[in-house]
Amino acid sequence: MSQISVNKQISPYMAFYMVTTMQIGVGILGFERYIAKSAGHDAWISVIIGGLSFNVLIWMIYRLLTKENADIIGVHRNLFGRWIGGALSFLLLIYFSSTILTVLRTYIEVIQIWVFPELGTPIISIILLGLAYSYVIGGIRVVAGLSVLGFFISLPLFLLKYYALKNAHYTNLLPILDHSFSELMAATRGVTLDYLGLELILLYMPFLKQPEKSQKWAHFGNLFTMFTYLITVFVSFVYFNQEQLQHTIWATLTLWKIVDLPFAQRFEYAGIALWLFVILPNLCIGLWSVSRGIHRLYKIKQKSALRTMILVIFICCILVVDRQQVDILNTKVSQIGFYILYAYIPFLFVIQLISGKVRKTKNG
Amino acid sequence: MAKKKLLIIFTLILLTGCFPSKKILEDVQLVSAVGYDYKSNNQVELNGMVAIPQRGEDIPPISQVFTATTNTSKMARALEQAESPKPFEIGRLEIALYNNRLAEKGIYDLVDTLQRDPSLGRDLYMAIVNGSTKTLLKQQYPLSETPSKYLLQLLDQNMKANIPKSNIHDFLYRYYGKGMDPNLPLIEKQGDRIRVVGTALLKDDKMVGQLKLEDSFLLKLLMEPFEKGIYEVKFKNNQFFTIQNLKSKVEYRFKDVKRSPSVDIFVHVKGRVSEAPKIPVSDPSLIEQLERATEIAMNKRINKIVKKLQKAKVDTIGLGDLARSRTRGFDFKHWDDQYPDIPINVKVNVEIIQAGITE
Amino acid sequence: MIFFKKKKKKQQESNSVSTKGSLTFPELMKKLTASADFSTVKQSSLSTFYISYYKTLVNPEFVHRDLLPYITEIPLKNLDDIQKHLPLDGMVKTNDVHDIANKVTAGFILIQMNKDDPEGLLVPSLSTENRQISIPETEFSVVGPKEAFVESLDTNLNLIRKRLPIPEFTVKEVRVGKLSKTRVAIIYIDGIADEENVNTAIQRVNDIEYDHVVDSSYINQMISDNENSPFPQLIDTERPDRVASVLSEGKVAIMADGSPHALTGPTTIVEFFSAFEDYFLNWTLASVIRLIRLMAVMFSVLSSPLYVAVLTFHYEMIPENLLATLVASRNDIPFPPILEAIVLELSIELLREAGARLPSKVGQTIGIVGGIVIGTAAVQAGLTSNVLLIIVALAALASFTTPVYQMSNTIRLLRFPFLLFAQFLGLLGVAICFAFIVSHLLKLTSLGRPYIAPLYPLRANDLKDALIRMPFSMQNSRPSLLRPQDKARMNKKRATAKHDIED
Repeated sequence: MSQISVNKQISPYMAFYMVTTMQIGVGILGFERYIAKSAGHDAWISVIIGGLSFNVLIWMIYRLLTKENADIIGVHRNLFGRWIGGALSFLLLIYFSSTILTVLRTYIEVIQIWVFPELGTPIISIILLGLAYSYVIGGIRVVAGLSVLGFFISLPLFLLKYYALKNAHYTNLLPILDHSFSELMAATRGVTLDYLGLELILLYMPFLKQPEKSQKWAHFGNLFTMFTYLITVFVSFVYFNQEQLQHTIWATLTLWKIVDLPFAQRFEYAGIALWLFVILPNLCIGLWSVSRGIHRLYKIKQKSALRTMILVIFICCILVVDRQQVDILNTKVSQIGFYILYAYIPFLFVIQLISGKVRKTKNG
Repeated sequence: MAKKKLLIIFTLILLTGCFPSKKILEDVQLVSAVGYDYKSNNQVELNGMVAIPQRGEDIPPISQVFTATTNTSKMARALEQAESPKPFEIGRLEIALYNNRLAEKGIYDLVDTLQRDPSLGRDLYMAIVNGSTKTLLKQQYPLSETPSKYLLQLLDQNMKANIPKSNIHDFLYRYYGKGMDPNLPLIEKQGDRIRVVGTALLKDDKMVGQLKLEDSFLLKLLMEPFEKGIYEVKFKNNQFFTIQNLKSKVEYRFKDVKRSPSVDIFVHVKGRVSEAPKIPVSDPSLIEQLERATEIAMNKRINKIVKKLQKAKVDTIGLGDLARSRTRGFDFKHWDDQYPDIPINVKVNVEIIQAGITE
Repeated sequence: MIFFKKKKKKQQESNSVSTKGSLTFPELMKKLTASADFSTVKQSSLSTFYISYYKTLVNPEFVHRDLLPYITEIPLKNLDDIQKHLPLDGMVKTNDVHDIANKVTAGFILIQMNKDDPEGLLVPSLSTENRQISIPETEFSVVGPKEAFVESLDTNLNLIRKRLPIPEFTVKEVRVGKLSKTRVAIIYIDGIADEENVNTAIQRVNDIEYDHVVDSSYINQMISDNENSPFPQLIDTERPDRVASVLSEGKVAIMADGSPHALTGPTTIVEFFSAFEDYFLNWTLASVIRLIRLMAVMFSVLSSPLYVAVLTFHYEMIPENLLATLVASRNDIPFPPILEAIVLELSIELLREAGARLPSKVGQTIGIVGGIVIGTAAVQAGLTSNVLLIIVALAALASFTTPVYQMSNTIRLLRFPFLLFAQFLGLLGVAICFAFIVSHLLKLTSLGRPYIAPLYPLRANDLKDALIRMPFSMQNSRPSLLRPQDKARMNKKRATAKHDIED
């Protein structure tokens, strides 16, 4: 692929922020219920297993991309040729776009349920997409900057866990390992959905300077996500008991309700507003990557690709009307994501190994 | 370009209709307490108390009660709307009261509507009232501006010292959780005062028994560590002294949970003799006697309470959950079947550390 | 978004003088003599020559005391003789009409042997009326130097140069403005300042295309990276010590003749919130004060929008103890919170503007009358709630803690979009508005360098003098944002050497 000029590239440590901000999205506000369904109070073990398995995937992705010195579109082209490779890339871009749609629509859903029931989907999606546009138009540097700022703005939200720990029942976590291996694995599968988002690195990796260094940061980013999920799960498990958790759709948001600061109580309203800075990097990195992908694939100007993308996502966003549809969207997209990460990437990895061997023997 | 901008502005103006509607603070009626009274088998009477601010800043707000009869609480709120000049908002609800007759029938449906509403907080206090909640809320109390404020401070204060902690979160925690049952404070209107008379014991969402205030203190000792509260002990013939709890701790030991379980509960109380007329408390040997006397008195009473709980098949202490946390592959059904007959021994250990400032 | 679109680079055009086309010498003389203050004197003692100058630009005393005595006593044949005998430097002998025109209008004396001879000797003798150096007004500090720039570029350069007595201190001069031909100096320390920054500054100043440039603030707007941004992109200071200090960090300063301010850049946003006094205080105090100032900024921008958001949408968030007070104070107000807030904010702006336009003594009275009388009256009449009055007054006060004047204006204006967003979307609106501003700031540059560094790109090393000010012993390297050619400020080892107890 054409080399990206150095001043367009961003520092390797940005991989840390871009990976964690992309992984942490709306899911964390209420994922405890899903993972606790199968593994109960031991689900935190699944969080660790899931996180570690993603480190393996990061390693694979980096091997895949650095070997060809290209993004996924280049890899597809090299391995499968122009047409099949292009079609695969196109399918992948559709998946990425649908993850953007999912994040956006779920956040709007949260706003509509918790803060403004009468808020129209069109107006808020226009505003949020316009906001994302204003970032993406500034290029990868601005998008990366947003993920750094978003990271630091949302970091203090950790402190709010203190209020839940004041009323904690630590015995809820006992006895450790009271669930079978298959139950843990089922929960792990549920957990992996929350680690999704990392796969966008397939598209923006060439923009990171020094891939070998950025890989290290990407691993750290993934570990930080794991750490965040661990804390979240831990706090929710000691505050709610398992049966209650099954009745609580948004556990973290419910936890914010008990925050009682001297100048404000009922923190969930402020929390949901601040969560914008967690959602925005998701949208922006996604939009940037997909528009970049379209630009690479079809030689369309990235700006026009971005505008078209925004329009398409906007229309899709309005078409998703009620809560059931949002749920269906979430499950379907994360299922596809699961297969892309755990089946397709290892498949590509193997294909590349084989074709590398074949090329070698041909040349030798 | 200019056309494009105009188009954008135009669509934005068109969409302004989709903005959320406003709930300006002074334009809504904030309900700060609700009370549910038993009306008939499938109807409840709902009383919402609102504090209406008065003109001028030094004049305290007056409280008003709106009443409606219905079978679900949401409907009732719609009914109330007819009388009120402003729309009701329940986001500031602080207290939910349930009439004792209603509580005996079960209150979960009423609580459920509260927990589903995202505008409600999780520190909402719940209490069961002996008598009508309507008369309790309608009364003007000289002790506080509005009944809701009075109740809030009263419950807050008592939950630190005398009765087990319980708000809507705790109620739901214990209601949903296996191996534990909820409890709620029991209050009563007495003249122009409200009095905490004890603790209501619930099985699921139904009230099945109650404990007196003194017993509530002992129940609290069994349930959670805390740092306040006073208990009166009889010492020899007609001499009484009160012991003030400075720090209490509780420990549970389970034996043979899977087959024939038995439970030992150890309560450690660090206390201070706060009132002891006619007893020379500076004497070290006497202190020991006081400690023994307190232990004996508490032991006797606590074991009675535990028997009562077991008889009513309510696990207010949450022993089932504690047993689960210590046992792999715990079987709740087995435990529940055995619960009334499990030998539960409570041992209180009292340590008196200070005895006032004079000798 | 469309709000802050970057303007296309100005077309580069030569910055030539106004006299276009050909001009003959007699035509020029006709133009010059049309002014009443232009005088031509014929001297004919030993030899005859003509002296022409603007009486209003040249001090006549100079002509009679420092010029004439040297040349009237001696027989002179040509202009070279005069040049030889005059003990002055900077004289030019020329027959270029444009050059003559430029120089004479800038305060040179024209000496000719023959009245119609286009060749003349130009003697520099500009006399300008200067204000005395006075104490800084907008950037006053209790401790530290009390000198401020004046309207003369040479005096100003003197004030800086005496603080940096090194040969590397370099001044590049450019003339800007078709009519005003303002002298603009670009100042930097060679060997420390990054050449790219210097070149950017020189090129941008050269590219200025305007008829008259009166003040450095013109230049500030004309050379800023994004003209439409409400955020100032260069620091505007009246303190020579501040300029000297930032020059030694590797920055570039731009000064215009006739302006008592210097522009320094590339700047970052945090610099606008650091007063120069921060460096005169112990680092612990300075850091705390700086943090207070940052909080004041946040408070100033966000307090009234949050009030509007919470009262309009999120009554649940009001703390228990405050609820009664708020309801009571809002109860009689006929306006919704947004209108109340906008009216109050605007009246505070009104007071400030009125105070700024009036002589200082009247201005103070206006402040007191407005603040106390109108405020209490408005509350008593039930037009505004006293809670909001307190918030708005405090917010206005907080905005004045920003040490750079332009920035404090920006901050005060910034809260109006926040108010609008708060009115429509509550807290979410406030967050959205904040996100828009962050997006603008992320894209903003100052002389081509990122504006919100060292926050992004995150440079941990530069944070030592950003939100807090670390002690001088830790300020051992120049900000890496500026890409200084010489990074080290001092020998770190010697500065931080540990001593034993009795050493």
